[in-house]
Amino acid sequence: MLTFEIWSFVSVIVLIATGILTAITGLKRKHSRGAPLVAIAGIITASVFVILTIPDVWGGKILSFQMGGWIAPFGITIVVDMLTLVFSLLIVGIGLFATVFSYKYIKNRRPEFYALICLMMAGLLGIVHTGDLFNLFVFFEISNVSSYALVAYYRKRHAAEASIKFLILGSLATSMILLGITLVYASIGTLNMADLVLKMPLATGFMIPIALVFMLTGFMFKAGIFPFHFWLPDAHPAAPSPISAMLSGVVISTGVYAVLRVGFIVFGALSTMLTILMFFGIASMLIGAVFAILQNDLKRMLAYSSISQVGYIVMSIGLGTSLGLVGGVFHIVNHAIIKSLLFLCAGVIIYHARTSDMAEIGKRIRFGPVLTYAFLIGVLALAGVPFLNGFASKWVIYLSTFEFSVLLTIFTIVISVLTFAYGIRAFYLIFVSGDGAPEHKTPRSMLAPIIILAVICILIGLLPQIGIAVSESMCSGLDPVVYAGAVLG
Amino acid sequence: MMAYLTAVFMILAGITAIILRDNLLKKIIGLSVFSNGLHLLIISIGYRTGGIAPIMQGSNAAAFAQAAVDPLPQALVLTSIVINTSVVALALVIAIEVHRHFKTLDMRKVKSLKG
Repeated sequence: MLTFEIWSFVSVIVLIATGILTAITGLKRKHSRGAPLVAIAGIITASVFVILTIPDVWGGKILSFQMGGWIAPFGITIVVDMLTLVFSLLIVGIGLFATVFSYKYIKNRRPEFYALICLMMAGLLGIVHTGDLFNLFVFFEISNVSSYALVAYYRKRHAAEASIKFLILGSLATSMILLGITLVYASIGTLNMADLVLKMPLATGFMIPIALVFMLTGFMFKAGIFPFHFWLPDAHPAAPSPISAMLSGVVISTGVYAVLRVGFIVFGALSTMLTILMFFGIASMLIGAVFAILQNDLKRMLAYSSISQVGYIVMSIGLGTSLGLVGGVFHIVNHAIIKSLLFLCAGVIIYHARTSDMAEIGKRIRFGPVLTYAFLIGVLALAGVPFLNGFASKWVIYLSTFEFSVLLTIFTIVISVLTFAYGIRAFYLIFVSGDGAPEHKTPRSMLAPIIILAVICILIGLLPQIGIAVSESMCSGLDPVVYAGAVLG
Repeated sequence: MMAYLTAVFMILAGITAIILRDNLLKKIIGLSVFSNGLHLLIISIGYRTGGIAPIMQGSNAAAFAQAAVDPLPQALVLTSIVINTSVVALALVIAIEVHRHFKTLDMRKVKSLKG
């Protein structure tokens, strides 16, 4: 009888193996169907392992596993709680949709593309599973290195430029995380998150705040928060659309996840940190929304919109109230679904129109009803129109800002109006104004993920209480005492 | 103490190179110097003057813990070196790609993207 409980961690191993296997299948025949099919099979297997964990964790239980049987502070600990579970579901789900979408979208089916997707997903899943700071850094680097290469996948001018900027700044940011981890180890002498929770109050001196600043810098870079956002509007449009969907949907969310895990559990939600998060969140909301309105390029607009929406999340988390935390976490989930829907729609649009200039697209192609409604649902959900998922989380965020200050609520609603403005502007330019030839047939493998994501948007919008209950359950694991107790036993 | 000073100097030199140099290769060299400075810093934390290699021989655990250097930073640095190698390798590949498109490695001239 196996006593192993952490099935969802097996998905990391499955995906690394799939990545290698995918690269091998492509060695002999360059443009075979083998690579995408192996990758899809691997991702489905990984999803099964994640789903197997649901009954064990549901309701707020925290599971932990010691790698190699070494007791807690010495070995690498794997921790699975609701936060991990929901992030894992998002990663495998959106990863699966992006890979299925790529089957027809990526013309020459180069095996390295699928190998890199699998490795990026393995890195992201690793980030959310680990209970060890250095292990977190290693998985950060795995997912980052894969995403640098994926951004440069189209070997074009702007892709090479975006990728090299992303790479140099991204490596600098992850090195900052390592520097922070080094300072933590130097002053406390352990890297296990649960052990750190116990030993953190004993630590004195100036090292700990400096370490937190360095680590937050790295995490906020990954999340694309305001002072570290400049790589995002270059990198997201340069990548192939399914990769943009993953970058916007799950990669920047894992940055927020790391802020939650390390900032709230290990460092115990210092009030200075919360103020910084709120300030940067507000700045990101404003800057992202203003720049999104000014864009003519569809994917660039969506990338700026991601900055704005992550601003909402971080601002809400920075309020420090439990309601704010629930709203922020709920909005992470909703933003991931909405933004992958919109980027996949952008993928279909670019697939047909061969340009991403919005005015030009409107003149060239008239799109069918499925894409039109899916894009409209995405845009309305993003702006927070009632009965769609974006409204549910934004409502919680409005309520939590109202507790803090009415001015902040008004500001948040104004940004939502701006979101509505740039979304509807894009919809008008692409689908309403002008008329061109009707679209050619869109492959089913590209439409199916879009339809499923749009339906999920509506379902969460109609049943917001389930989403809020899940988010509350996710936030309950953010209590350091509960976490340390569950992991160290 | 000397090791710490050298590490801090390497980290600062690396960051300076990444920010102030315009040549892409020099930026990548700066990245490498920065990471290696960081590795030196980590190793220095676990260093102990006259310490022995952290391989347990015999059964006197207390005496061993007194004498041996801290093995964890060494494990971290080994991992980090491997990661750093792959990042620099990828950076050089993309640098070749940049040169192919722009015919220069001067980052002031590599500007096709706005904002």
